[in-house]
Amino acid sequence: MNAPVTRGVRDNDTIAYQRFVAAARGFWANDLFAALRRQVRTPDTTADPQAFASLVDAHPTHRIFAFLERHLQRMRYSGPFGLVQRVERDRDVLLASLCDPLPEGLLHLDPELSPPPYYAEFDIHQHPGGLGGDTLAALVYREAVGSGVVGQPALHRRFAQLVTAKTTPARILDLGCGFGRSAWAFADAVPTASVLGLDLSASCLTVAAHDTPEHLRTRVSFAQADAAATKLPRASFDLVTSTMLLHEMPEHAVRALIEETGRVTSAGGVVAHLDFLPPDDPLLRILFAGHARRNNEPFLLEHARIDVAAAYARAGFARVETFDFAEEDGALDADFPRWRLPWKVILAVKDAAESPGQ
Amino acid sequence: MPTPVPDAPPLEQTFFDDPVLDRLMGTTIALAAEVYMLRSRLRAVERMLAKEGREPETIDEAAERRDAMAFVQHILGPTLGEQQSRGPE
Repeated sequence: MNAPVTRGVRDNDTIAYQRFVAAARGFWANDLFAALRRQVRTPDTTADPQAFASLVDAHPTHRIFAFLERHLQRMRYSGPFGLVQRVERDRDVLLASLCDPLPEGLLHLDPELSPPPYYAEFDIHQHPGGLGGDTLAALVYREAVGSGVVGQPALHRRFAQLVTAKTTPARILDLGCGFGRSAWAFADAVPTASVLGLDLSASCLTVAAHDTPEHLRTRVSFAQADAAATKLPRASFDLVTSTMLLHEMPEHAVRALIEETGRVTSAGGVVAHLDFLPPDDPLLRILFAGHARRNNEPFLLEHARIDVAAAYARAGFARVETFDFAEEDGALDADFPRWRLPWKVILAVKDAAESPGQ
Repeated sequence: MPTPVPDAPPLEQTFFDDPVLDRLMGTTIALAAEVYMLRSRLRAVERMLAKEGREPETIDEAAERRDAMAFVQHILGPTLGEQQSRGPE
């Protein structure tokens, strides 16, 4: 599928506006974050966390950091030069591109699917309307993340390579697959595997199917379903993955998802989630918690409340480990100079022999 | 803050002691983006003039990004709140 067609002065204005927003976000993540690091002394381990949080909250550099995080994200999506309007101007062309015929079995949408209530409750990422409504919503999202770490194939390749170094699955299920990058990365990492990508968003799945590279179209497919209640056969996958899914679900839904992964994963199979967990550093922890509110991600902190080892043990998994993930070289260095999300891998390995009740 | 009327849009988040500061900051950033767009347009016109009315030359996107970063450094630099020359606080 082609990139949005750009036309005339209005589109050039939008390109310039978005370039400004991207540069300002770079300033926010680099210069302003570094200034905050310089200006706010990290407390020792005996300090009162609440007192430190109050100190940070009142700090003028933190207030500007918070303001810019909120409003640069708003400018990215909303307003006359936001990405929603940019995609809207090319609506007819883009809709036509999504009508190209697809190979049989590549895409299965479920018009009867009722998304869980939490899904439409907030405009996650400040994306007006979210991903569950408009047919072109996924293209807005793809544009929004396109130039950042999240939108780059390298992130997904890194995760896929890390996971497939530990297991060589024949059947992979990718939960919350979005517009396809994670599913393609796993398909490329294991050239003999089949990959099914699930998502609630018909828009994302449609874009994913149309953008699937030719060489993957016989092994990759996409279907609309709730990751916490997939209706897929039990023990039908050797590897179940998700990338940036858990933090967009409330705690009860994550618990249901863990149970569901226990049901669909085969004996000896693996579940691997790439997501975020609160960092240990006191300042980074405050910034991460603030990100939840400012970026309209109200569930960001919820899955951190779950004892994943216990939850996965109940779902039939013998071993669970959680470890840091470097989304790029040097990202885990103590002196990494930019604000970054605290990426974590949650890896669970199922018992080789299933109990009769599972 | 007075209670809003029913069904009024939710109020935007605030980060400063005076919510008016938040709104003025929003306007400042919007104006900065508008100024940047005008700069971009002006450069396009200048390129066209340089070509004596022919099609503008292809934009060097990497150079444009560097220009945007320098522009942002200039206008947002004061938000760091750090002295550029050492003096009393």
